[in-house]
Amino acid sequence: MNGVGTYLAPAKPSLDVTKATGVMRGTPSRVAVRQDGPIVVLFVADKSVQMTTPIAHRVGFALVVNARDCAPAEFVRLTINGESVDFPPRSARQVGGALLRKADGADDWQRSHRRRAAT
Amino acid sequence: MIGRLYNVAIGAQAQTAAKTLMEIAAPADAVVTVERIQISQSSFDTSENLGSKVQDISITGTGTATTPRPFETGDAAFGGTVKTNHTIEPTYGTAVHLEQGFNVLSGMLWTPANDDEVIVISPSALLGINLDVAPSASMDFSYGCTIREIGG
Repeated sequence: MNGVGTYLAPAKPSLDVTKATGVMRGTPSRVAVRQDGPIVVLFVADKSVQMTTPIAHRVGFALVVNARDCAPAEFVRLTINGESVDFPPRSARQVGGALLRKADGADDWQRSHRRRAAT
Repeated sequence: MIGRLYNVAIGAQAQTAAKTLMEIAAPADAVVTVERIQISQSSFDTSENLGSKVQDISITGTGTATTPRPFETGDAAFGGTVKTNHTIEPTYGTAVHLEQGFNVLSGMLWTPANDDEVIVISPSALLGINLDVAPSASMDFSYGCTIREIGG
C-alpha cells in the first residue's frame, strides 16, 4: 500500500560515549570485540553491534579518552540507539583498545581484499 | 595498518637494582598500545629468577630520554615521550597490567595473546615497565618494547 501523509523517517542510528555518575548498571561479563572480515563487532551479553572501521576507531578512541577523564565514582557509558551499557574506567580502556586493534585488523582485511580496477 | 609503530630498544645496560626500565608517556591527542615487551641479559650465566611488572604511573620519574624509532623509515616522530633507566623512581598507580617472573638465562618476551589483551595507555597517561626484583649481581640487560600510536 502506498502511504500518503506525513513521512516518518527511520531514526538515525546513534552511538554515544559519555562519562556518567550515579547508579552504574553492572557490565555484563560477556563483553567481546571481534573482527568479521571488514567490520568490527562488539558483543555485549546477547546483543551485538557491527561497526565499520572508522566508527570502531572513533568509539574505541572515545572509550579510552573517557576512561582517562573519569574521576572517582565516574564510569563510562556507551549508548547505542538508546540502549546503554556501563563500563568501569579500566574496562572501558581495555574495550576501547581492543576496538582500535580490531579496527586495524579490519582495515588490513579491506586492503588485502580490495576490488581490482578493470583493465 | 592503523596508527604508527615504534620500537624502543636499549642494549646491554648494566643493572644492579630493582628499578623502572622504561616509562612511556602517551601524547595528549593519541592512544598508545603496547604490542611487545622484551627483557633479556647477556653477561650472567647462572640460573636466577627475576620479575617484571607493567603498571600505570601517576607521577613521572627521572630517567634518560629515549627516542622511539619508527618502524617505517622517515615516519613521523613518536608524539609522546619515553624515559629509560630511571634514577628517580616514578610513583606507580594501582593498576597492574602484567606481573611476570622470568629466568635471566632465557629472558622475558611478552606479546598480547589476542587483541583484548593489548595494554592501552590513554592520552597523556603514563605506563612503567620495571625490573621488580633486584639481580644478585650486575647484569647487562637489553630491553625494549614495541608501541603503537593511534591518533583520534
